[in-house]
Amino acid sequence: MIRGALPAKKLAHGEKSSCLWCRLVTKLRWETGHSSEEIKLNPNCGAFKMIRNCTLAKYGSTDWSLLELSILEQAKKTLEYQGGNVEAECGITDEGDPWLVFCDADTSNVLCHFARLGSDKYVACVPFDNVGTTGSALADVLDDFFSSPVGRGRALGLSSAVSHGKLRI
Amino acid sequence: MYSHPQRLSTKGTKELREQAGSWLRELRENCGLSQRQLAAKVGAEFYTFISQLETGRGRIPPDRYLVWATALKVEPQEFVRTLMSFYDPVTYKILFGSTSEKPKSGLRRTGGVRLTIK
Repeated sequence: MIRGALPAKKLAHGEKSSCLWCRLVTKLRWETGHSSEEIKLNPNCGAFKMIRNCTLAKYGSTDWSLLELSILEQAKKTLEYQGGNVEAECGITDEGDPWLVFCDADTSNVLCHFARLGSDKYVACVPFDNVGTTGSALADVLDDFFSSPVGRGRALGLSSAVSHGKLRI
Repeated sequence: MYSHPQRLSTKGTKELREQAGSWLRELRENCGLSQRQLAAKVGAEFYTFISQLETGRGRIPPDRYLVWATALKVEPQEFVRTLMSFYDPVTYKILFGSTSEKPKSGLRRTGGVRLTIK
């Protein structure tokens, strides 16, 4: 799970915040009154826009949106599925732009860094390597990054993945 | 099997990285720089790296120590020595002794090293 990503909120009886996906759906249900089935994970969906606006108003930050977090969580799970032991940590800059890093859980070395600059520019890169991918769609930026030699190399840098020889992106 | 003591999986090492981040943030703020301004001075392509480091994630690459020290107006030797106390406490302790002393206002004392902020 991505730590520090979502503000803590009291869960209703029987609802467990066991994964980002559950928290995402639960939050959407709380905020919109829609059922789980009605919630569409679409950036143009009114529910998502409403949630994003509510989050901004409530917490006064421009933290990752739920959609962005779900995309990042999916990338993390993909890495883990292929043999990596990945931790994700996130934060916000002094200008309010959110960032998130994937770390090798065994060594905590930062593997890759993702950020949103302003409202719609995304970055995926290796810190201080001055090589990265930018774009206006997070999913595309992640795809491009992990398809690039640099991104692939960093993912392969996962110690557990290397030791097991499993990782393929 | 040998377990590397610098690995961040240990709680103590994580705390040291967070202390390093806080220290870097304090230096930056004392210089009156924003994260974006510091990023420009140290040649970081994206200023979000600065925030990442200040929260204790990752570390400054050794080949950037000098430019960071200059940007933060700290003597390079003192800068590297203090960073070493956070990043490599085992080596630091052998070279410089205890790391238990705490910083004082105005002058920072980290691991027995007196740091003067210019």
